[in-house]
Amino acid sequence: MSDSSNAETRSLHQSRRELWLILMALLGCAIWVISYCSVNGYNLSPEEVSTVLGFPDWVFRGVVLPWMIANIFTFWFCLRFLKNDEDEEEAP
Amino acid sequence: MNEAAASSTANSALVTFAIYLLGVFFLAWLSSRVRRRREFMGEYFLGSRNLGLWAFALTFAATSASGGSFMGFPSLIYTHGWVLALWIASYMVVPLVGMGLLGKRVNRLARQSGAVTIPDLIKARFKSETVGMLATLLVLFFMFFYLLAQFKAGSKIMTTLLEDVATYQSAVNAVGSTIDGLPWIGSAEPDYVLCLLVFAFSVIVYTAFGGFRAVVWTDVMQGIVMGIGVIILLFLTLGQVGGLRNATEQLKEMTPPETGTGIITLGQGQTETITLPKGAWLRLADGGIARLAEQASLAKGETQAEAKLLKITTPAEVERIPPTKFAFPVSAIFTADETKGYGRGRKGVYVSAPGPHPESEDGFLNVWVAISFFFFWAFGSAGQPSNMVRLMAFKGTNILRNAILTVSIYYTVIYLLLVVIFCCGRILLPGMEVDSDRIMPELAAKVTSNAGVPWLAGLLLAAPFAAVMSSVDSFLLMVSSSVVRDIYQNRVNPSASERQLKRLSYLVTAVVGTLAMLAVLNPPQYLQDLIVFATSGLAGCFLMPVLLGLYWPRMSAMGAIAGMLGGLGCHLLLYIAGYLIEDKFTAYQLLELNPFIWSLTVSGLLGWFCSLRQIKTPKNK
Repeated sequence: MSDSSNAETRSLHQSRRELWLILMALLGCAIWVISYCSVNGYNLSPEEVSTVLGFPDWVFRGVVLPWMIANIFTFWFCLRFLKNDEDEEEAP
Repeated sequence: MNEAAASSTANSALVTFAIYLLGVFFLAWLSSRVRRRREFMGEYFLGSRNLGLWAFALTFAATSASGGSFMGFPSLIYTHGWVLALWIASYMVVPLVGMGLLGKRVNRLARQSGAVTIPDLIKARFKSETVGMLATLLVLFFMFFYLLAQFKAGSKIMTTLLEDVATYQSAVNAVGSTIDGLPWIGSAEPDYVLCLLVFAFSVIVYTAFGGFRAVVWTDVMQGIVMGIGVIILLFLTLGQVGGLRNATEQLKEMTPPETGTGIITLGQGQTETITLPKGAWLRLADGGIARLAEQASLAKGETQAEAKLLKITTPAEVERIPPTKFAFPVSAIFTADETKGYGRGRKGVYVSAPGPHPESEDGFLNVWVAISFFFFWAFGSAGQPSNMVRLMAFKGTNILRNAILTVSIYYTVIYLLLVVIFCCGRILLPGMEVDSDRIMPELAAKVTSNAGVPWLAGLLLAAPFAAVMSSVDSFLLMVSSSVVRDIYQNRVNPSASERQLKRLSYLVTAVVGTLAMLAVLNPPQYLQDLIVFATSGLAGCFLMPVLLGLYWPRMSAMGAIAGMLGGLGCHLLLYIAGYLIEDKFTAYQLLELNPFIWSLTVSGLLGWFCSLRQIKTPKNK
């Protein structure tokens, strides 16, 4: 197998690992957001809605909080997990 | 808002718009100078594949944020309340999915194959002319619809924002007398025609002249304008509602307004025809307050007229809103429409899901629709060819890495803050349901006027211009690159000289833009629905074949064709079913899921199954 073919294989394997992690992150966010909001956010009377930093509590815990955590995850993913291809510099 | 404030806001909008257009043309001129020193096709359609961090991040973000983000989305937030945070929630992972899912692989393959367009890339991956041609036809088919819709959206935004400018009104009158009686455009609104001409001319000129680099540079400028606009609007709005907590507490007590018919009575017959403008506040006979949802005219001597009204039902607002002052006494009797909607008379609907809806018993966002939208935004963004083509243009993984981070922060600022801003907007501007698409300019005018800085409204109002322009230019270039590269250079004249390609590129960009403009001079009905049709159609046809092609070496040309045609077939079938069942241009929501989810599933399964089948066929071993 040539060097370029090896590099392509390694790039594909690393990209696949990144792909699965991205899909897991999407699924994780979907489960958190949809399950929390569907249980705690639907058909509420005004008395049942308290606020956190001005947001309705179900919006804060069901959307804002996971949004911030998703951003932290994105930072980790980009800075630690997303790898440069080894032959990137030689790419035409 | 008083007349002086309205006029000041309108003039500042006009000045901002003029400065903004000058900036756009300057960037187009600058990019054409850069292009002189480089190979034409790669530079004109892909910016020589050397986009840096800010250019790549902001062109991706700005192209995704179309006019809907600043007109349709605020209108939905205003009408349905905090539930829109759930509706838009998947934007927390859209940058990661939209750029990370395909970014590295698309960029790598594009560099290795020298591909300039998405059909080019697909053809190179599957080594099949047929797949490339099918991709070209699909891009042309869906993108043209998209282009039509965005041209119309751009013109509508301009008419909304400039309607109070005196100079503009004179120009509208001149256009009106010119087009009156002409076939095709004679029945169109003159203000719409004027704005369409200005908007289309600007976009066509700077896109045709500047190419991809001009589009990217203007996207950067537009992205900055949008970001700054949202942040300023947030601070002004929060300050004027007394903070977010106070706004949410007030929203808790609100009940949705009721639509209905009003019998308007004048205290005395008038000596001339009287017109009560749309949006005027009328005191009701029962002590309530209602807003005219349409203009009401009373002929000379008449004392009664019927008109559509919007009745405010929140007691605090009824007390707070003064009726509009006329030179004669006016009152009205209100009869509510019979509707089966959700939220009528209920407190708390603006701070909880599913959100009020005047017609749907399930409210605005039931759980199934919320699930659909979560995946639609994420995969829909990844599957747009206009986004994929940007992934072909960045310099390397370091740029991709930093761009994902930048766009994550940018989307957090834009989308999360827009929800906050327009929930507060409900408190500052009651009764905007009569024309909820105007909430953005109205709120900008209101908060800047209250803060004593009406000139600032111009900057805030530039955001929707920027959003639409940054989408239109990208789609225009996509269509033109498909014609020049995928059809002419790859099929008709492979040995075309650079000079020929250059002339043809200018010509095609101008002709496609002009055709789109002519097509929407008299806009067809259902144009907004065409945006959804085109977006979900493109993603449904392209995402799975491209994704499988990039990550699964055994994915074959046959699989790609089956995937694209399967996605297209499922998409069209659901729209035909929707049309037959509901008698309007809409998709049938099988199991209440967005039709895009079904197209994606069918496309993926067919692509996978046909590729496996081809592998098992002896002649392919």
